[in-house]
Amino acid sequence: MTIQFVLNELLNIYQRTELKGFDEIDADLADAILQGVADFTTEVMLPLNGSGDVEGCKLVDGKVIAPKGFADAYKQYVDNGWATLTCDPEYGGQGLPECIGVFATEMKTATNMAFAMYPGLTHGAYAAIHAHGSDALKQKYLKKLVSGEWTGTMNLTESHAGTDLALLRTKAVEAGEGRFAISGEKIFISSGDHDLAENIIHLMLARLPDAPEGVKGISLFAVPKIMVNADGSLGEANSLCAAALEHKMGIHGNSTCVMNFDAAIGELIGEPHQGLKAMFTMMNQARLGVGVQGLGVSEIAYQNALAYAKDRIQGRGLSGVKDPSQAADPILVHGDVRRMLMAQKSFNEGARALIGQQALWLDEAERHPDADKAKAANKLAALFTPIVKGFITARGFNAIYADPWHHRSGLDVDSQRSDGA
Amino acid sequence: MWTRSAVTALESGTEDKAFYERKLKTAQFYMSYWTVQTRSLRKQVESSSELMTQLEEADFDL
Repeated sequence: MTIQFVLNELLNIYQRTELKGFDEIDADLADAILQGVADFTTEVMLPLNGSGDVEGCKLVDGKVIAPKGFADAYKQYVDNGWATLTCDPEYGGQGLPECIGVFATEMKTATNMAFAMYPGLTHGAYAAIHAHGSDALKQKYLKKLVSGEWTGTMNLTESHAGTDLALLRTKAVEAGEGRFAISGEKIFISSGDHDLAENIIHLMLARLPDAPEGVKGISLFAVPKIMVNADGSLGEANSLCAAALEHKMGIHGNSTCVMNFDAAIGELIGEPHQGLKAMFTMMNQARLGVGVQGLGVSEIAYQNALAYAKDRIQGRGLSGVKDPSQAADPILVHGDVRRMLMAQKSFNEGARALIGQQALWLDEAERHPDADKAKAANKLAALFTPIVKGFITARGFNAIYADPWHHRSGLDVDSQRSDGA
Repeated sequence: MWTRSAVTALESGTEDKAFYERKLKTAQFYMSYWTVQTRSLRKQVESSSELMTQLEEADFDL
């Protein structure tokens, strides 16, 4: 389904005026915004997808440098206001519904997932501070995170503690003035360090000295790369660094880092030992985002596969010659190619509808004036969050690495990396 | 979602007939290709889960 069909005809979002803020949007406004995102992603992000993955990030003298072109593209991204779409107007956001924002994310992911992850993680950090941070923390960090001038990360995983966060060892001790000194090592930190923004706010899980065992003893902290002074200006560098780069297939343009924190100064988000709850605000946002990533890469794989199937000529159609002007017919005439393409197309359209519905439930949960309806929508969103994440990414993976290989004859294995298929 | 999509396509299919016909064909394909898999997947989950819990560590050895 095209995005407009989902928003306008399937979900009827422009008739949902009972939802706070929905009366301020109409199809023309949404179309204009989404077209702007489409233009930016196609003209600026897509050309950097292949080169960014081939070049990858570099760790030089303890600092990570993103691939050529990423910093300029990110500046344009921030200057154009694309970071602010769904954020709270109180902090400089545009207040657009999630059901529109997810499709901006789909286009960003489809054209350059590595690049899209820099603002993607930032949005998760924004959501956690917005939901659980003190007023002082919000004032300190949110405007810069919303504008995209600063980026965010989420620091959960340690080398011995991935899914089982009860095992995590990173420690936080009081350092006076409501601050904490945090020490430990985190791995797989997406956008952990880079040269796109002047500051990075790390949201990280750690244990206080009196913490109970297990997940009930985890607290969440905001730890800036560069300390922020009372007047909002930047101060000294915090005691943290990227110790190494990790290399994730297909997203070498995103800086996946091993991060070392050596008594780095941070502030508590929410209550002590309630970090997992606060982090799950970010995780649910991230899980929906991951489902959208599955759709985005599956969609661009489909578009590339379709173009190839129309162009590549091999053999003749079973029912006779389809294109006598050529030595063979386009492979689109062959039944199995049609099956693979339609399987991919129909899956993508179904996934897009489900993602739109999931995002609309999240909007209802936040914006519906009837508390019971808001609660019901929240329950549906909670039920579908793991389905959106797990199912769509699993199929999205197949769409990229299984079916397209059949009809692209394995070309992707070799050098066809820049088109995203 | 697919039913809603098909109904919407049927009701709206006047302005851009080809677009809505594509929606209907895509919905039809989804039902005939993807939805039919749910029965076997459910059977797979239900029939294998008990065996999963009964396996000993040694059962994974070659």
